[in-house]
Order: sequence, then C-alpha cells, then structure tokens
Amino acid sequence: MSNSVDETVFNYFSLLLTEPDEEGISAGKPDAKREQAAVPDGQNGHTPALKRQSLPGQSEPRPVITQATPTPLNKLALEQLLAPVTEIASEVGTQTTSKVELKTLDTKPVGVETVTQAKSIQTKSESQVEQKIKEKLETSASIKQEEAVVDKVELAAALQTQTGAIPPGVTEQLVEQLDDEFQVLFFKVAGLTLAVPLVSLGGIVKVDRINHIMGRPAWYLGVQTHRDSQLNVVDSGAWVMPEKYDDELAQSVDYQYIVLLEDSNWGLACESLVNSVRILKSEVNWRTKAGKRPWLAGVVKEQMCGILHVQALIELLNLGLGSQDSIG
Amino acid sequence: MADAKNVAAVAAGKDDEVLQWVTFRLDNETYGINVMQVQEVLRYTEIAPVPGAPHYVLGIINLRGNVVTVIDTRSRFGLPSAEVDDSTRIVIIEAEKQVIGILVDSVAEVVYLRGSEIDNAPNVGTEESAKFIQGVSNRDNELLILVDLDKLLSDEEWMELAQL
Repeated sequence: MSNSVDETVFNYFSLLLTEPDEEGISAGKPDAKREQAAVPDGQNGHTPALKRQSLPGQSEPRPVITQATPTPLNKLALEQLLAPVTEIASEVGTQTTSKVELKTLDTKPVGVETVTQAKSIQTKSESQVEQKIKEKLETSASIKQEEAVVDKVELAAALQTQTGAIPPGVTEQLVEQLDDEFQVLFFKVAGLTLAVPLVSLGGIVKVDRINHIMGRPAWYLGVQTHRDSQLNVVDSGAWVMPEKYDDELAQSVDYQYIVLLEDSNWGLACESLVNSVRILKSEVNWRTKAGKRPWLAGVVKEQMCGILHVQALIELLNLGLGSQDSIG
Repeated sequence: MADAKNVAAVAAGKDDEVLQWVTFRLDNETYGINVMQVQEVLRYTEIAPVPGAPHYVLGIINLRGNVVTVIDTRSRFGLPSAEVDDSTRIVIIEAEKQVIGILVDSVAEVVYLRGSEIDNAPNVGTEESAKFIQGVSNRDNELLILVDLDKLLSDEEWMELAQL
C-alpha cells in the first residue's frame, strides 16, 4: 500500500471511531466533561487507553516494551496456524498435548497443532510477557498491583467526570481483558485490512462449500458445515462497508478463509490472512465512546487498520444487524 | 445399502421421530419437503400463463383433467430464473388444503431424517422467504434445507390462489 492509501484507510477508521453518537444509543452519549478530561494525543484527537491509565507521577506513557515493531509478514507461520484446522478431525486426539511457544509463531516453523491453541499459546506467553514487562520497567511492583492502581485511577477519573453507566459495546471490557502486549491476526477483505485479537479468535477454516440460505440479509454469505455443526458465514465486505460494497466489488472478492469468532457459530469470510503480530495496547487508538459501531474496538496505528470488538460483533450478528445498525 | 441403513435408522429411534423428505435442487442447493405433502412428480410440461395472476404464479397445467396452479419457486426463494431443461420437474404438492405445483430444477431422492438430525436455521432472516425454512440438516457433508410448504405462501396468498 502506498502512503496515501494508508493514510486514507487510517482516516477512514479514525472517522468511524470519531463519529458522533446518534439516536438509539443514548446510553452511550459521550460526556462533555469526560471529553475535556481526556488528553488528545496530538495526532487525531484520540486518547490511547494507556495514556488515560498513566500512573500518578508519570506524565508520559512509559515505553513498556521495546519490541513494539510488529514482525514482518510470515506466511509460513500463518500456514502453520491454518493447516491443523483442516486436519483437526484426524488429530483431535493429540492436539491437547502439544504446546508451542509464542515466539515460534513468527520465527520458525513448528508443528502447531491447531489454531484454537492460540489461546493456550497466548496464556503461556503471558507469563513471559509479564516477565519482560517487569524487567523493562525495573520496578518491584507486580502487574496485579499495577492494575489495581490503574483501576483506582480509572475509578477516580470516572468519579471526577461523573460518567454514567458504561455503554454496551464500548471497549473498556476488552481492553481490560487484554494484556499490555497482545497478539492480533491481520486479515484482508476487499482490500481492507482488519485485525482481531487472538484471544477472541475461535479458529480459521478454509472456505469449502458455503450453502446459500434464502431470505437472509445481503451480508449473510451462507452456511458451511464445520465439525458437524453449521457455521454462519458473514460476507465481511458487505457487512463492514455496505456503502462501498457494490456488485462489481462483490464479484471481485475471492474469499478463501473464514475467521471464527470466539466460540460462536459465526465466522467472517476473508480473502487472505496477512500475519499474526504482538502489539501493545498503546499502539491502538481505542474507542472511547459508544458510537454507531460497537464492533470497532479501535484502530491499530502502525498497520492503520480497524481492530474488532468480537463480543460486540457477535452480539450484532446474533441480532441479525448490520455494521451500521444500532443495538436496541 | 443406503436403503438398508435408512430402514435401520427408522427402526432405531422410536422416540426420535423419523420423517421422509423428498429432496430437490434449486440453484445448486438441495431442499427437502415432507414426503407426506408430495402427491407426484411430473416432467416439465407446458405451463399456460394466467392473465392477471400474481407474480409468483407461473401459470396452470392440466393434470388428468384437473387444473393445477404452478408456483415459480425460484422467484419465491429469491433466486434468479433459469432455463428449463431435461431435469426440470413439477412437484405436485398439497399444502393448506390446496393442490399446487412447484417448479424445481430437479428432484433427487427421498431421505430419512430423525428429528434430532434437524438443526434450526440461522435466525437472521428478515425477508418473507426466511419463514419458509423449517430447519437444516447435514447429510454427507451436504446441507439439506428443509422447506415448510405451508409457509410457502402467506394466508392471503393462499386465499388468492384458491380464487384463481
């Protein structure tokens, strides 16, 4: 992608994130005081989550981990990630015994057993990441203590701004769930790159035979059988950008994989898997208000792509709603 | 072989009701309708258009002296129209106390399905045609979409058809 295209994409997602709240989502209306309290990052007016969570006495966000630059595209690693899913039926008995260190995903080929192990990989890597964080910070405070302080700061900020109840779909819960450094999978749909946190990734399945079901919304691609159950496949392009997804674009899209959303029976069709990298929370412009698109958790700054809020996405899909529909 | 298996399946689960479904194909998908509602399957015969008939009516045929209305199933299912060929069939069915014909691409077979083998259809449909689907079933890695013929037309449309 050229710089101009990158900028356009970045601006596109930034626009989605900054869209004013509208009718039907009154619970999520941004509090003016809260907005004033937030310190813009100087680039696009967003306040990264870590900046808001800065500890007392620390005016600038700390460089928590120096390995901020994502690893380059690693197709081999992705193939490893994908291959076991297609072989899962035969290997289901052995998959629980194998574990792979996080680093191997990006560096060397290892027989990864299943994509669903991404969660166990993530879990195993957590201790390593935490260890690194400890070393880098050179502080005696444990991560939990730090989180407790952050919680207090957040609570104080919430009280100070007298914000109402946290609107549904807003990203606080997701941000809390993620480690400071977390893995995301980048995938492409009709030229658009999207990211999904690996903790929210249920697996990756190759597109095989998608059965069209009549009477469903245009974004509903159909049903694919997966492990003796029916997987609802979303035409991601039609869902994410219905305004741009005309017949010509729809014809040109060649879906190859289905990105499964947590343990739901929903999957996003995608054209290609780009790579899986570790990023810091501070590298994401997190959504700070409910807005019209609860499924968009934020924008990954470096890759300039949207990061999905999978739980909100599943909720919308279960309700049969499109990307621009409001819940309730 | 397959028949023996099916018969065994019928005998096996008395508490798990087994139903027979006539399967047909439309636009590369396989659909099933309850065999009890199927009267016969005809090769394609000339369908006489009826002036002023609703858009979902292809026309009428003469079936041994009886006039039978034929429904445009593709149109009803929101599918593009297709040319008639050698495998095109008219399935004569009885639904809502009326005998009608439905035009399909081809008729495949009769399958036995237990109730437990039928899953709910994904509940995201908003269009009228979403109501037709009674459920789905996975057979030999192929999805069978089960159609509720009684809901193929709305109450008003069934009445309209009766007066045709």
